[in-house]
This record gives sequence, structure tokens and C-alpha cells, in this order.
Amino acid sequence: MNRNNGRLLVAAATAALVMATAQARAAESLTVTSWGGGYQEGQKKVYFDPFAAKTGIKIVEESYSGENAKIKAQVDADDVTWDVVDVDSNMIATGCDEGLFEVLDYSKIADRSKFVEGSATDCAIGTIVVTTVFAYDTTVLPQAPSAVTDIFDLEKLPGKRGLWKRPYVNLEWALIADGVAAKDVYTTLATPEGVDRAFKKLDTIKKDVVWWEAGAQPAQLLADKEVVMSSAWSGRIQAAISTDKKPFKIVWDAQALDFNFWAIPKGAKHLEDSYKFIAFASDAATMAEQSKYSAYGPTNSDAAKLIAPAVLETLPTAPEHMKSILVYDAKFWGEHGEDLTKRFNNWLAQ
Amino acid sequence: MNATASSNEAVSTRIFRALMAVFCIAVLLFLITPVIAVIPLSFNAEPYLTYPLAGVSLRWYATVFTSDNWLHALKSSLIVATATTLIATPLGTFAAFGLMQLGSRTRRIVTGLLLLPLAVPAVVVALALYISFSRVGLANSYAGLIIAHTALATPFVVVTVSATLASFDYTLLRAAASLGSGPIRTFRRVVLPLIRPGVISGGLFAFITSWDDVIIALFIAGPQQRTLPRQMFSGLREQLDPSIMVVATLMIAVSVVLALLVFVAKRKSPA
Amino acid sequence: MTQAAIIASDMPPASPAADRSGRRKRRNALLLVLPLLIFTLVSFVAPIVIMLARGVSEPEITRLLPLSRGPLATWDGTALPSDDTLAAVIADLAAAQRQRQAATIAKRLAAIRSDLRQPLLAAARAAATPPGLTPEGLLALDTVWRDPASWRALAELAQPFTDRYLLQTLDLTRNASGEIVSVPDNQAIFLAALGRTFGIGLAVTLITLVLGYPLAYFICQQSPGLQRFMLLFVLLPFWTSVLVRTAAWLVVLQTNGLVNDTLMALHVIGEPLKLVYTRSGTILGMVHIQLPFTLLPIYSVMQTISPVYVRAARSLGATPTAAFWRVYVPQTLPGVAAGCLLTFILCLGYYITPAILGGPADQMLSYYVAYYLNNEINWSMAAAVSTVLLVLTILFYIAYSWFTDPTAKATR
Repeated sequence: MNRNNGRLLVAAATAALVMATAQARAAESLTVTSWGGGYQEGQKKVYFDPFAAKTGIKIVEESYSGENAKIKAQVDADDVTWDVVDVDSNMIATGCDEGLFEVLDYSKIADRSKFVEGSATDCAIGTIVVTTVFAYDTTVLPQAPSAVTDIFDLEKLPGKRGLWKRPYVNLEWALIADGVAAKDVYTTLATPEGVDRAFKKLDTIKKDVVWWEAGAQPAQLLADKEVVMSSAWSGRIQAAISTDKKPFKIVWDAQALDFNFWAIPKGAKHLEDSYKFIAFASDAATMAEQSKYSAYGPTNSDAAKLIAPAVLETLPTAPEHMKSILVYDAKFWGEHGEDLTKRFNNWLAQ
Repeated sequence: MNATASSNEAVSTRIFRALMAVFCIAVLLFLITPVIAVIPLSFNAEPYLTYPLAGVSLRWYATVFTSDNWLHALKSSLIVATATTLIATPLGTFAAFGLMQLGSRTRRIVTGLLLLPLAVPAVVVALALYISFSRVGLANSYAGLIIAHTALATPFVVVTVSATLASFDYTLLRAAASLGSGPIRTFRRVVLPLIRPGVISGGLFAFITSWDDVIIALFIAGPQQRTLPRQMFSGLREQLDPSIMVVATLMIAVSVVLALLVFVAKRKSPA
Repeated sequence: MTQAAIIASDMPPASPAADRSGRRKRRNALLLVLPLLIFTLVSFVAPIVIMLARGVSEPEITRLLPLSRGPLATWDGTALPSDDTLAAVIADLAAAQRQRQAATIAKRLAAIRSDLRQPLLAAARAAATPPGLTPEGLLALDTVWRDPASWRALAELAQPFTDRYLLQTLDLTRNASGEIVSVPDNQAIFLAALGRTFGIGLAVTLITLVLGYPLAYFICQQSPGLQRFMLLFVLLPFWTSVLVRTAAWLVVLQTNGLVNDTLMALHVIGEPLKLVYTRSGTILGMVHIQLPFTLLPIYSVMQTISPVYVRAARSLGATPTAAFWRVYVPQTLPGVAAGCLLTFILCLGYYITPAILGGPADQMLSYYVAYYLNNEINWSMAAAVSTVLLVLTILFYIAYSWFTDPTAKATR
């Protein structure tokens, strides 16, 4: 290697470092984190790309599976890399009090009164009405399951079942399957005996559960025949049915209705752009588009009027699907979530 | 030993040999098949990962090479791996050259220290760096990721270059010195040309260490520095379609090319 | 990845010229080593030391109790703390509540005594709401505050150093009177994880040996050209990233993946085997990744073995089997030991493969490091698990260098 080569090497190393630091300060981009898979692809088409086209602000996408910890780690370290996050109600139940999110200035977003009750909170504004249901492959099971009891009935419906690797909804369903009425689920679960009872019920199927973590997995697991039925967020299954023509069917029994929200982690670095994005995404016309890609209900009541009747029928809020519901109690999970999650994870590992 | 016994023995030996050959070929196939099997799946015309292929198409290649996420990840990976290589190679080369000239006792201790990153599990390194880096603002930055990868990559450079230096003739140094050449000049004019194959191999090892890493990137990189393996890891857990196999194929191709380059560099070695 | 080959190829011996060189040359040599040495110390050794310290301390909590940690440390632990101490606690809680960090304290306190979470949150809220709390007010707030055991728990939390995380990695804890006892059954996960880590490591090591030893022997007996060709089959996967190979196994092992399809087509099985998200899938993937690490050291030792000894044994009347087992195999043992130990050491630290191919009950120690960091945000616990992993790895690494280091053998 001659002298020039040596210099070249040093120059190249410097250039690479400079480039790297320059990259770190890349101008005009906003990191939006959502739940991945088809849902996020839909958001890209409805929100991210049009927003970038309109404002020139590029969206850097990140996906996660609702780990509050990932936000808390950023806020605690005072190094917040996520500008806007699509969160669920478990996260804002405690996150707002713990100072994980900015308190929203609704004057910069939308008319708060237009939002469905419970979907416009201090720290987060609703984006969809989401629900946890369970679904099965009609070509695989000998008889159709019709209630959450069937998830726990290995004799009637043998085979693996997919469940979310979180305690939420699983514990509730376990109690319902064990004979607790939907309205009494949370009072039961607030007692140590109730918790034991739920885990005991889950014990009966533990060997036959495939635990999923990301929202896109249930449809994938069903399609790959890794499971015969799975809990899932309804829109993901609906997308597999309508777009990919999969022979899946949703069981709406004890569906756990909830919201997803947009929130800004405390100390996010592009606050004004974050507000611009949320305002853009909360607009009724934009939001109405969303349900074309993922079958979730809109939270802006004006958007509901813009959705085609054919699509409305597939949403969790269709009267046909509301016959038996579990009113998901985010407040309960705010108080007990940490203890129950710990117990649940230990139980999983044993 | 009578004749029948020995012919029995010959037959059983032959059977044993044949069984052994079958067994070993099966193990060789076990090693290669999974790696080869993913490649055709990246050309599947349908979004499934099963054989037989529904048809051959490049649609997943188009998907990957037009996707902002994958392109961003590719760019991050290239930036980090290149920077790591450019920093780790000189650091490791100088150190290896210096090590050779140390007393054997000091050399053992220092070498042990320098090779330590090889012995520690990746998750432990990742956690340690995450805790320290987040204190000094290096978490979620390219600089942090490059420093972390450099720490993991330098041992490979040290070992590879040291191996080449083992056959180095040290009288050349004295000859150069007696001709009035300074140490830096001697290094550049005499040493480097002779150990170049080792340096190149070391650099390639450094590149592939960074290029393949997923654990460090998972722990300490932010969304802006998401690398290819990290993007692939999250893809594997949520959406397993042939585009993942496209990236896998790409990574296999890069590995093969780098392995070939190392092989060529070794062949050219004067030793 | 390629670690094995490189660790295995031991550092070359010093040239005599270098040993004889003068002090100035040594200083120059040290100058060359210095940049990397400093780099390694700063960006590798120091972070590890900081992490080890993390495993026995909890600065993020002690920082939140600046006024009360002193008085609580000197408190005798029998009667209730003095009013001054209580006032200090109230001031700390009020400050924590205003920084929205009370939940963090409550969470860690709950790890010591789970029934204290809600009382602490209530106390912090009351302390931060005007007109604040008096010591009497705090004691009146909840019956738990009139129990010295609750204060002992808080005092323990405020200590600068703690062994509770290291204890927890062994499923141990301290009871109310400070004795070390086992944790309740529904929290005991670490001994099982440790056992699983060892078990999977051993299984993978043994399987790679059973597959690798005959293969190494077989390759050695071929012509040089064929040897190179066969080694290609070993080295191509060896050079491919662990993540890519794990992904490949995920695809191949699926219910309707290549393995099940082939076995079904051959009528070996009637219905698809469950291979992904299982222990066997994890072990299979790991065996694939580790096989070259076990095989290559054995192969390189076999290459150096002269056929003379086996021939001599045969000519002295030994059967081929006896000659193989009693003459050939003993000569390969250094390679076997090196390869197996290397594989075992690398297995201890596996994270990616079990995470992708295993189920929740197949996770190894590394998983818990990631879990406590990413899901629980408990750096101290993550660091404690890391400490255990690091100590284990280093112990086996020392054994490994003893087996592979020629100078160690000479002094034996």
C-alpha cells in the first residue's frame, strides 16, 4: 500500500464518520411507530404517504407490539426517538399519569367533541375502535366454534390455538369460559382467588397454545396451519378474509372492545410536526379511508358517515357483532396490569 | 484368523463404510439444504413460503427494492459496516504488529484483553453498551452503533493479521532501520505490503461482523439506524413473506462473496 | 459466526528477534497497541464493569430518595422511623410525584413487598397535593405504614447496594427478617432457565459431536480435491449469518414447510409434526449453527494425525475397531475437547435462535436479559442475569483456553 492509499483510507474513514453523524441529524423526518403488518401498511397508504406528500415531512416507520417499556426507556433516558405512537388503552391508562406522554393541545388537532365517548383523552386521541376476537380456519376444524368456551375445549376442538403473549383478554376469557358472567369478570379478577382461577383455566390449554406477539401473526399462523384457531384483532382477520380470500371466520362472542390512539411521547423532538401529523390523521375524511384497509371503526363520528355500508358491516361496531361483548376495562389493567403481567410471564416460562 | 472370518470382516467393513458414507452425506446435506432452500422461495410468485413454487417472479425483489423501510435498513447497514471496517482494520493491524514485538508475558496478557469481546455473549455486550451509551448520548446513534461493532470486530482483525505476521521475517525491520528508514516509513513500505492479505481478510471479517449483527442493533440502535438484520428480525416475527427471503438471499450472497474474497486474499498470501 | 476458527487458530509464537529487542522497541510496540487497548478498555471493558455494578445497585431508585436514604439507613428497624425520617420520605415522595416517577418507586417496592404498591402511590399523591402530608398524616393514610416491616422494605430499597437481584437470579429472596429463602413457586423461573440453558447447551454439543466426528473423519479420508468440495458444504452455512439460518429453519420447519412436506410425501408421518415454537425446533436450529464449530477443530486435529500409529497397531494384531478406538480416537481428543467446549460456551449465550424457533418455555438466560431490559425496564435485574451469564461463560472459557493453549499443557 503506498502513501496515497494510506491517505485515502484515512479520508474515507473520516468521510464515513461525518456521513454517519450527518445521517443522525437527518432533517425533516418524523418517526411514527405503529403495530406493524397489514394494519401499518394501511396506515402508510392512508396517513404516512399522503402526509409526506402534503407537508414534505418524511415519515420513518417503526413497529412494535405495544411495549410501554420501549416508550418509558426513551422518556427516562431523555432521548426520545419516537415522535408519534399508535398506543392502546392499557398504555395510556397508566402512561398519562406516569408522564410518558405529552398532554395534548386539542386546539392543534381536532374538535374534541366529535370523538366517540372515551376516545379523546388528555394524552391520546383515538384513531380506531379495535376489538379482540377469535377466528378459525373453516377448512380445518370439524365443527365451528361459536363461543370463547370453545377455545378451552380441547376435546371438542383439538389442535393448537394462538393467543396473545400478554395477560390482557386471555385472563378475562379464561374466567368467562370457566363460567363467570362477562359483567363480573373484572370484580373476580381483582381478587387473588379470581386470578388463580383464571390461570388454572389457562393451565388446561397451556400445552396447546402458540403465543403470538405481533398483530400480524394470528392471520399468518392460521394461514400456515400452525394453529386451528387464534385470538386476533378483528381487522387483521377481516383483511385476510376480504383481501387474501382466506377461508377464515371470526367469532364475535365476548369480543373485547377498545380503542387505539395517537400519542406523543413526552419530550419528543419534533412536537409541532407531531401535532401536524395527528391533526392530519384525525381528519374525518382521512380517517374514513382507513377502514378500507383494516376493518376497524373510526373514532371521529364524522368519519363514520363517510364509510360505505358494505364496509360498515364488517366493523366490530356492526349491530350484528355487538350481541355479546366484553367491555374492556383499561382502568382495571392500569391498576393490576403490572402484577398480572409479571405473574403471566412467570407462568409462561414455567 | 481363518478365511471365512476375514471375508466376513471384509463384508462387514464394506457395509460399515457404505453406511458411514450415507450418514456423512446426509449430514452434509443437512448443513447446506436450509441455506439453499430459502433462495428459490424468494422468487415465488405468491406470498407463501412453501414448495412447490406457484410460479417464478421477481415481484418480491421489486417489493424490497422499492420499500422505504428495506432501503433505509440497507443504507444503515452499509454505513455502519463500512465505517466499522475502516476503523477496526487500522486499529487491529497496528495492534497486531505491536503485539508481535512485545515480551511474551505482556503479549499474552494484552492479547487476552484485546480478544475478550470474542468470549462474552452478545446479549451481555449489548446490555453493557446500552447502559453506558445511554448515559453519554451514544444510544440511538450511528456513532454508538459503529463504536459497538468496532469493539466486536477488532479481535478478528488482530487474530487474522497476527496469523500473517507469524511468518514475517523480522530481520527485514532491522535491515530497513540500518538503511535509515523511520518506523512509520518501514511499516508502510516494508511491513504492509507483506501482510496485506491478512489485513484484507481482517477487514472483511470486520465488515461481516457488523453486517451480520442483530443483537447489538436490537439493543442500542434507534429507528433511524435500523439495520438490515434488525429489520429482518422484526419482519420474521410479524410478517413472514417472500420479501424476507429476498433479504435472506441478499445476505447469503454478500456472505459468499466476502468468503470468496477472504479465500482469494489467503491464496495471494506470500507465506 | 467465524469466532471458532479464529479462537481455535492460536496466536503465533513470538519470534526470537522480538524477544531480544530493546526497551525502546518495546515502547514503540506498546505505542502501536495502545490505541486499540484504550479503545477496548473504554468501549468494552468499562461498560462491562459498569454493568456488573448495575447488578448490585439501583441508582435510578436511590437517586429518587436523596433525603430519606440516609435516615433510613441509620434507622434501627425495630420501632417506627422518627418523624424527621418520615418527613424526609414525604419530601422525596412529593418530589418523585412531581417528576412523575412515583410509579417507578412503587414498582420496585412492590418487587420487595407487593402489597405496598398502591399505598406508596397514594402516599406520593397525597404528599404532592397541597397542603402536603405530615408524618402523622402519612401513618394515618394506610395501616401498612404503621407496620415497621413496610419501612424495612423501603429502607432496603433505599440502600445504595443490594444483593436482591443476584439472589433473584437463583430464585432466592430475603424474607421479612432478612433471611435468604426461596421465592414463591409462581415466581421461580431462573433455576429452571439456568437448567434449560445448560440442558440445551449439552444436547446441542452432544448432537454436534455425534454428527461432526464421523463427518470430520470421513472428510479426512477423501482426496484433497474432494475434501475441499466437502468443506464447502460446511463453510457456506458457517459464513451465513445466524439470523438468516434461523429464518431458513423457521421456513423449513413450518407445518407445511419442506421437512413436513417431505416426510409426508415419503409416508414417514401421517400428519405434520409440530416443529416450530418448540424445544426440538430450537435444538435443531442450534445444532445446524454450531456443527461447524464442533467439526472444524476436530477436523484440523485429524489432519495432523499420522496413519502410522493405526497401521502399527493393526500389524501388532489389533482389530480395526480396537485400533480405531484405542489408538486413533485418543489422538483426536484435544480437538474433540476444543470443539465441544467451544460449542457449549457459544450455546450458553444464544438469544436469536430460541427467540424465533422456540416457545416461551424454551427460552435461555439471554432471553431474560433482553426481557428485563426491554419489557420490564429493570436494568439492574437485566445486569444481574448478565452477570450470571458472564461468570458461567468465563469459567468455561478458562477451561477452553486450558485445553487449547499449548503452554498450559506444557506446564501441566
